[in-house]
Amino acid sequence: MKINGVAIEDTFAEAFSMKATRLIITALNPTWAMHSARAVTGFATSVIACGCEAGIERELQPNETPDGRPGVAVLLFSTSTKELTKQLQNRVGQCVLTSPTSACFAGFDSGDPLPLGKTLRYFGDGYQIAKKLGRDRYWRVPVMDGEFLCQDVTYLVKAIGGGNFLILAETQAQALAASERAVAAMRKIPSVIMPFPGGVVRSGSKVGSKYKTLPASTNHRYCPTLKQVVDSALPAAVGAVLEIVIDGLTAEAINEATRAGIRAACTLGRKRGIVGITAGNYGGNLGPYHFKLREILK
Amino acid sequence: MIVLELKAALDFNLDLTRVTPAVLAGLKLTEIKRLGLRYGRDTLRLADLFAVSGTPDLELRIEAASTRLHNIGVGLAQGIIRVTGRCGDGVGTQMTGGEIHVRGDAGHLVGAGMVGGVIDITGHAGDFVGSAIPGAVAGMKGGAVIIGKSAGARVGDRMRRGLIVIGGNAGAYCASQLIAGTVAVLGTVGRDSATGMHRGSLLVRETDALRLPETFVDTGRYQLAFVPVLLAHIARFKPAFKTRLRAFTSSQRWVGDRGCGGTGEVLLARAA
Repeated sequence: MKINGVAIEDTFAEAFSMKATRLIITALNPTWAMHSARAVTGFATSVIACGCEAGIERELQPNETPDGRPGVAVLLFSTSTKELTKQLQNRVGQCVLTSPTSACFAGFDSGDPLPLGKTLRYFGDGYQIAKKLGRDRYWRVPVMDGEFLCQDVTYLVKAIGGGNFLILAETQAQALAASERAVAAMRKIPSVIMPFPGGVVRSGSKVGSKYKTLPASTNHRYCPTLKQVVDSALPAAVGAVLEIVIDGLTAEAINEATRAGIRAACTLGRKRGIVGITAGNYGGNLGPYHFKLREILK
Repeated sequence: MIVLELKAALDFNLDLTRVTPAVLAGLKLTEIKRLGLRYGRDTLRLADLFAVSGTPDLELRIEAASTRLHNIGVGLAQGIIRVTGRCGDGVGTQMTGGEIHVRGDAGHLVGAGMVGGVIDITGHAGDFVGSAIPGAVAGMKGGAVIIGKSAGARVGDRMRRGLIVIGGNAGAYCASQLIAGTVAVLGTVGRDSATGMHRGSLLVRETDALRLPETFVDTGRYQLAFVPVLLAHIARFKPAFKTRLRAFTSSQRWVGDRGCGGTGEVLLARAA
């Protein structure tokens, strides 16, 4: 299978079950909502060392937010409820509560409740105000620019982490250009995030290492500088590989994002240095979700 | 749905505490007609006073209601009661769930001591809306009461949780001794309103005649993020209030009653 001369390998991305939540962060204007959203999703590229994977899902218009102000929807993924709870408390406490004019709401209406304002309210030192509207409880915490409004709980849903595809190109610049096109297309798809910087990761990893303390290490078979040194998975023409990792709320969302991303990456074509598209997996034995590239692109 | 239509004007008060959708849903139509109700010194069958029709389920309609019909929906836990006409005291008192819709006016103690559910009265209501039932320490503890027009004195007296919205004016002592919860009055409030507030919120239109207790302090004018969330919540019950609610987006925030150490708030919207 080829798209615009770019070979699509007959393989699949292997993904894992995760726990996720969506937050809606609002502020007086889109700039400050985005400041807060960027902070809360910062240092959240991989659960390997960040505790969670997080990213901005999309910007929200005032008519889409609970308080009628501009907002940003962010998604946070983790491997356990306990870790997600901890990450929420730390990140919202340090990055949203602190951000001028911000407010924070649950982005789902149902699921398992995770404490949000329920724990952050104590910052109010007894001056906080609870308001229950219908089934939702809100906390109004007095802060120096007025009040920080935060929903009592957010909701956890089952999700999928680790969807991916790799772009094989002749040069680093070509791989990056294709990746940028892919991420731009994928950001239009709801319910997914690409948690790495700019949505792209260059340090694809394999499980384990020759060093016992490391849980993961460089995926040496995809490192072009090791082509003649190891059992490389790369054709001779390939000089750079970049990966796009996708976390999504559903398999359908990851399918859609993968399709949009690969098609966008392939618009550059073989003539402009894009050699092939492949995906990372562990033989299919570890992750319950398999995203087969050729089936997705049919 | 079971429909009850009063056959004639009542000479005595009639207590409808026993006539709830849940009770009627478990009976056959013939059994419903035979339900006994105290009427003056006698016990009459429901069918003696009302034309009874329909199929038993969790919806009850009362047509041509009378101010002598009391305690409609007392302790309601589920189902819907729709009333057309003026009704007596105690509508939805101590209800825990379900909905009561009255197209008309209601008497005193609407939603007093209620815990959950929704009461929607299109007309006026009497005193003690959402307050404590006689002898109780606290008033309503949850749910929502929406009054389309004006209400009498002591709206939300000792209320602990929940929402009361008055489309018109409220009488004296509105939100007095409020423990918590929210009272929104789109018109004005009578004398000594907010007296003895502990916590909770009273939203009211600012007028020259409005006099808050001297023991309230002005903390300034704010556009609180919470207010639009509250207003959207209210508008879901009563979309017609949406335009008038916008005035509260920027509110003067008074806190009190400091005379009793209270930290309740009164949010005053500028008069249009």
